[in-house]
Amino acid sequence: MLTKVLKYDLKLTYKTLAGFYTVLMIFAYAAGDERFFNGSYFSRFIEELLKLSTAALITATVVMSLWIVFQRFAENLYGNESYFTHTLPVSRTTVYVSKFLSLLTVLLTSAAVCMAAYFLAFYSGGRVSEWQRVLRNYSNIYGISIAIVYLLIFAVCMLQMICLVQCGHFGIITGHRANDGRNVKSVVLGFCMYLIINAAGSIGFFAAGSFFPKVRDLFYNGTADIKTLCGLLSAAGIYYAASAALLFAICLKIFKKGVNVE
Amino acid sequence: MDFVFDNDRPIYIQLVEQMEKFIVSGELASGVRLPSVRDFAVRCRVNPNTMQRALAELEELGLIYTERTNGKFVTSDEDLIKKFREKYAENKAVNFLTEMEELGYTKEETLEYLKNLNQED
Amino acid sequence: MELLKCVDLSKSYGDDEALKDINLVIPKGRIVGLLGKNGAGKTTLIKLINDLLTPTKGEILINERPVGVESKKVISYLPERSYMNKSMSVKEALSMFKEFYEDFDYEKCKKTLKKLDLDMEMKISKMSKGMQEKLQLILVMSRRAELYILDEPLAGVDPAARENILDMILTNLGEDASLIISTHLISDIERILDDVIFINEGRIILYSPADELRNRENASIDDIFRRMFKC
Repeated sequence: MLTKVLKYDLKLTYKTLAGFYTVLMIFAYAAGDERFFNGSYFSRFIEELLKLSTAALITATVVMSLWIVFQRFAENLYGNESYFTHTLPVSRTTVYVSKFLSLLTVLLTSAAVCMAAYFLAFYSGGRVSEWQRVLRNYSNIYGISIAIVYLLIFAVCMLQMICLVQCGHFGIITGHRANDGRNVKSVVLGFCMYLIINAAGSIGFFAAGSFFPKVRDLFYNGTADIKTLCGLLSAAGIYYAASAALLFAICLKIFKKGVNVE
Repeated sequence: MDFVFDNDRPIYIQLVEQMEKFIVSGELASGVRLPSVRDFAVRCRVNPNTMQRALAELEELGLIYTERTNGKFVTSDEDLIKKFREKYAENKAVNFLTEMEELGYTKEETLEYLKNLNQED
Repeated sequence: MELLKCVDLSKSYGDDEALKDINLVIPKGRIVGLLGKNGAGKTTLIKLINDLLTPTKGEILINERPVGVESKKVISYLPERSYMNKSMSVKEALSMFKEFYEDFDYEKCKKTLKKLDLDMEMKISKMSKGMQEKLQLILVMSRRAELYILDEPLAGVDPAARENILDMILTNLGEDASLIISTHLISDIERILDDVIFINEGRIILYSPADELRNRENASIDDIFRRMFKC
């Protein structure tokens, strides 16, 4: 049953997102392909315009992805569609797990599409090899593969995003247990949860600073050696992963108690 | 065969009455096989349970009978149908006479009136 | 055999009690009219049976088991609103039903849609409200469920089409299946009812076989209802 539920969750999510992805990729391709530009003042202008649009569209795609994930969640579980969702012969756990898996999928595909668009628009042709050279330089200097650092940053960003979306889900689930003012309560509760998680993370960061001088240096100088940075990133990653797991458990537990749809 | 119901009285009683009338008038010929309860109910737009009850009542009256595997049939007992027809006619006639009486006609005057009516046709 | 049983069922929203101590048994093979004015608690009761609300007190048993995946397999429910995703086509909606409900009769559904002039390729967002309601009713009645629950199926339908809808309900109702139909348009449906439930201010006022009630009061259910609630 999970695959069936997930199939429809993804289908209905990507129906809207696919359009965004397509437009973004078209702009990114046009902005990055130098054959289109002959060096005249006008073509420079068009090129810059296209690049600017691509940057704006990347932001829009990130925002839209989050928005669609929230919108689908609220509509499918508490809106008109909920009358269908909750009367399906499917357990609430399955319904919730499917929502979680589709949030992972959307975040990953959106990240992939945005990165692809970024490279297409700003690092096309010869500039890709230039970028690779820079990477190689860094890795020689620090004696650590810079790719790992990038990977770590990416992982922390993704985990942070997963936490963010789940805070939203937490807000929607708890907000809809109220009898009125459900939308406002959803937003407020979701926001509070997000603040709590990040505040707790920051406190952990400060605490780490009092034990590790190298972390403390980061506060004073704003710089740290690459190993400390990697350590911090790993810690942040683990923290966000644990938070995500905790949020998942809490949301599922509350959700399983039952719903009260309007 | 059209059934018309009013909502004031039990539907099954109205079904029995109207079926009786259809059988007596020959609109439902004697010996004919009836549709299944469900089909019949759908055709009359009534509840299958109500139809079931009406048919049971008619069976009790002897106007229909069940053959174990073949379903329900209208009785072939012409005498019985005739008896019901007479009962029906009697009811109608008595009602008519009472109403005429209320209008001030004596039995003889009513009879005379009917004869004249017949000739005018 | 008890198909549905409610025991001391209550639902409140804060201080507002929407349902109070409902005790109710619905056996197999009955067509039951759930009759009440707007806001009497009809929809609340129906939503509780369908797991769309959690009871404040009491319990609901379907085939002697609490509401859950098993009960949802045997209940076919028509809500009083459009609940299909509007971006789907009629065809997609059908496949979705087929995938999720083992008892869904795809061919029968297709046939009924054709009979009532609904286009399989049409998008739900392009349909009028009446058409959407018709589609949903066809989908719901194309399941071979044990219990059908129809919440106000006639409200949005013009009077001329009501007969059609009653026909469809009667034709598709299985032998042992029961049907709960909630409405405030009593005169249109009272003919097909076995039993009637009058509900007012969250309480069940009366639960009786329809013909018995007519016999006792010498009036139609509609009249009895109007007399009782002075409307």
